Amino acid sequence: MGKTSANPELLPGTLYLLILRTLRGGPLHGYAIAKRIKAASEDGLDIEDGSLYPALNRMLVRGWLAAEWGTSENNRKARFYRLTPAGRKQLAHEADIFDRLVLAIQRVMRTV
Amino acid sequence: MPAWREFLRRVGYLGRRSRFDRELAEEMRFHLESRIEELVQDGVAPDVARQRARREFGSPVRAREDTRAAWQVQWIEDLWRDLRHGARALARSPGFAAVAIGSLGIGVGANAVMFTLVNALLLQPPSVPQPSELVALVSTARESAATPVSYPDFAALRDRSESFQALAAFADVSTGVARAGGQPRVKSGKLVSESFFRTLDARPEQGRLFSAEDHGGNSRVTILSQACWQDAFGGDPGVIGTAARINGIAFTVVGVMPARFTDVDDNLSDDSPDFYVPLRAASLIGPTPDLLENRGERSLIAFGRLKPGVPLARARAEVATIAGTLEKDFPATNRDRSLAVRTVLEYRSGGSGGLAAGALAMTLAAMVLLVACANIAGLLTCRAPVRAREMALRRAIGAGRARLIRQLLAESLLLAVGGGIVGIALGYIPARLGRRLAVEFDPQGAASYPFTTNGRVLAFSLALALLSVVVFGVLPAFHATRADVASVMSGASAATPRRRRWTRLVRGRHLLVTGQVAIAFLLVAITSVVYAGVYRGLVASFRNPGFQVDHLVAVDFDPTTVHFKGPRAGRFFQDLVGRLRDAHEARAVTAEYQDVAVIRPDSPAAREDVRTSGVWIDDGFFDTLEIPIVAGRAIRRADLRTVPTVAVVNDVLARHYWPGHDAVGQRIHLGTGAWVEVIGVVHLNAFMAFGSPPMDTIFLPYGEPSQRNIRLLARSAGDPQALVDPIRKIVRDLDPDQAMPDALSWQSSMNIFLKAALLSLNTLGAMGGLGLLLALVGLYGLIAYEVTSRTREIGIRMALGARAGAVVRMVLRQGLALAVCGVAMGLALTWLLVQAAGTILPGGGSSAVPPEPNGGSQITANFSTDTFGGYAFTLLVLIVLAVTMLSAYLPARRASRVDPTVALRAE
Repeated sequence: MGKTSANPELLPGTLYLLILRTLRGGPLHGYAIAKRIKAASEDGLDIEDGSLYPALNRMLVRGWLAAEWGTSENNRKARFYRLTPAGRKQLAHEADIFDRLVLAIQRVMRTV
Repeated sequence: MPAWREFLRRVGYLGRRSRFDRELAEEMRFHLESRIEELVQDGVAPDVARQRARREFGSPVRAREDTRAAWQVQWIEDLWRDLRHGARALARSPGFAAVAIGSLGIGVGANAVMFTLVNALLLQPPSVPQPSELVALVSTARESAATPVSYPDFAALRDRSESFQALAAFADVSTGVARAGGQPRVKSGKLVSESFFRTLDARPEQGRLFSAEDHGGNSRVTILSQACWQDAFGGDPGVIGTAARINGIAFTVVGVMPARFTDVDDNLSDDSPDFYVPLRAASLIGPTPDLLENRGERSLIAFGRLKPGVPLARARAEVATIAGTLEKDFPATNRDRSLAVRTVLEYRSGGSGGLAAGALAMTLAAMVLLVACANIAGLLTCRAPVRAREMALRRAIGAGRARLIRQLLAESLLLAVGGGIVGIALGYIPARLGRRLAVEFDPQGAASYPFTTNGRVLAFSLALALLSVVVFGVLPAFHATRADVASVMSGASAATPRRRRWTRLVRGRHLLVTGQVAIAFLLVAITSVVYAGVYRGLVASFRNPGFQVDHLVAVDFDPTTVHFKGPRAGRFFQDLVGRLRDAHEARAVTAEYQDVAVIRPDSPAAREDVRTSGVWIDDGFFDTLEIPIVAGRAIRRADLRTVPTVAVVNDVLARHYWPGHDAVGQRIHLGTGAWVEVIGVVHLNAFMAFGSPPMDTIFLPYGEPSQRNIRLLARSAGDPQALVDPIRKIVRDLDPDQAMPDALSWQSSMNIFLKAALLSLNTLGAMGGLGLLLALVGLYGLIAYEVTSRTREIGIRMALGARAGAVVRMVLRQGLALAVCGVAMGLALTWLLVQAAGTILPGGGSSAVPPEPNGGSQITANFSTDTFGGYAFTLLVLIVLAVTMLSAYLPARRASRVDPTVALRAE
């Protein structure tokens, strides 16, 4: 991603939110998740693709996601992740928190 | 909830980490290759594409490490590593591991065996819902053990008390059951009170439970167990509403219980009888027709459930108050009697000294464990200097003390689990053998066999193993982690403080080994005394009970299994014996029953009425059993009257009351008020009281039938088993509603009894033997260790001209000192114990108590105090000394072969 540190770092914990949001439309494999996030942010976020996998696995441990092996669009074996009911709940929860956070920061930025 | 789910997912990961790694690698490869493919499709050159994809991905190593870390739980990872390290450490010293695990296994095994018994007999709660609420209700008298209760007393408690959710009572019956038109077979059943099933919180599988009308009115109804329904009714799906003939009387089947339902027996342990009838049916099939009315007939087992929140003390007080009122209102039956609430444990251990016996058994087992633990402590002590070096080294390179302690704990855990498993396996053997015997005795007996290695036994054994290792292994090992690097690393040429420490350790071990030998001696002494006493008494009296045992068949008729009651029952047995004699298939036939006879012989030696072993017999008794008559004559047919006028006594009784005189012609006053004349004396030590000392016995002519087991005895010319079918046929001809109890040839049933007795004896003997073996291992280990650490000294002695023999003597002298000290301490301990046992255990000495009639197989163990001091004991001392010397001799011989040049170069 040639433009390196010009992009902002992710706020802590927001990677979960992004993944949860991306998976709301249906199961995806890891590469597709990375692609979607990058495309949606128009390459505006500085994420190493590799850091996606620890995050995905931490979410598996917490039971927000489930994973199973399937066949990708280019006909290869790939691991697909999908939201569990607990994951949906978490998405709603995190989105709510995030909105309030952003709102609060914006208010501060405007008034002070 | 999510927390433990998360934990489970992490644990699941532990089991498949290599697969996990493979899959993650594949996933990341897919990611990279997909990206490269995409870039190439966009027109990027393959080389550049690959580079770019890699850069975007970041470090795959870090990604992999972070992903793994997402799953790992640190302490599990650490424990896993510690366990693997511990296993490697144990594998490096297999001798240590084998002796430690083996010793612990033997110690735990002995406890597992005893705990299996104690648990089944005392601790295991019945398998009913909320067993902790269950209490027993008993009738107590001022100077005797608690007894069951009478129905009127029970009813008073049920109606007046407020501490209980429900109170129930039952009486066991055993009688013939058949479907209409079928052959009756002996089945066990229960007469139950109205609230019986409610107290047990039970539901039927088919049909219904007893209703209030069933208990109040005259409806004859029964509920069958699943097994009885399958067995006697062929699992007939339409069984509800059909008739079951119980003791020849038609009862309507109203319900069938589920297969897994168990109620409680007279020990409040699990029981599974074949059928249930309301208590009211006692007038039809029970042993006591007036059960419901007679306040003096105390034969109901009563239990109840406390109301939640009601303290036991309040229930006790309430029951005592009600009993006090009953005592005032019904002095004829209730004078000096009260009622009491007992917890299940109190109830089970009450009266029979069960708690003391259980405690004694567990003490024996604990002694074996103690000897075993001394071995482990000894082994760890001699590893201590080596471990101290290792620990110091590891601390020097930066391991924290907590880390080292965790490592030691992991090693101990391995030892404990290993020892626990060996122990459980050892403890399983006698339980399994016992089960096999139970099946041999009764093919259906397996289901109710109580001595099983269940979860409680497993938990107990493992906990014991862990505790032993912690106390005897871990605490001493903590000291090892304190060692400072400099002094330990300075090498084997020990500085003074270390020398002193070493001496202290060795002195500690000497004490340990002396104690081991002492306890082992005590164990061997106790077990061999019991073994020899019981073996001599039991086996001898089983093999030669005073009558001819070959070609004999015995059929025991429990009074409740007898269809006819009263005088008709008497005639039934007379007819049975008569028909069998006429059939000429048996050489001789007799019927008898045993009971306590209250007598006062006309003799200066008799000052009061004495309870004596009594046998009521017919005219064929002495012929059938071939008991030799030494004076006078046997009982004849003409002597068989309702009120006896004559009696035959055994020579023990004759010598007891009329020493030096002819007993024939003497008179005896019976507790019933009649006088009988002694017409004959037979030579017999005791009748059917196996393992007991000679006992006064009186034989009275069989008049009225009794409430006792009536035993039919027949002697065959050929195979005794061939008599069973003719007996069965005659029983059926005489009364189609009479079920035939199991018949076994005398010898085969005695063989089973003997095997059972020998099984428990051998288990006991094994405990003594293994205890001794453990002590020997300890002694051997200590001497061998000392010889090894004194190699240099011995080398110098030999270089200076000491002979091999002198070296052997030197080492042996040390072993002998330990053994003598141990044996002396053991002797003192044994003496103390025997003194104590003499005051605790009844029946020591020669006071021959008549056996409570229980169907004939009275087995009494005699722990006689006069064994102490006999030549057998001297022999025991010599044997223990000899084997301890042998275990010292082996290392001594090795010491004598030390090559001085090698020894001096050793360090």
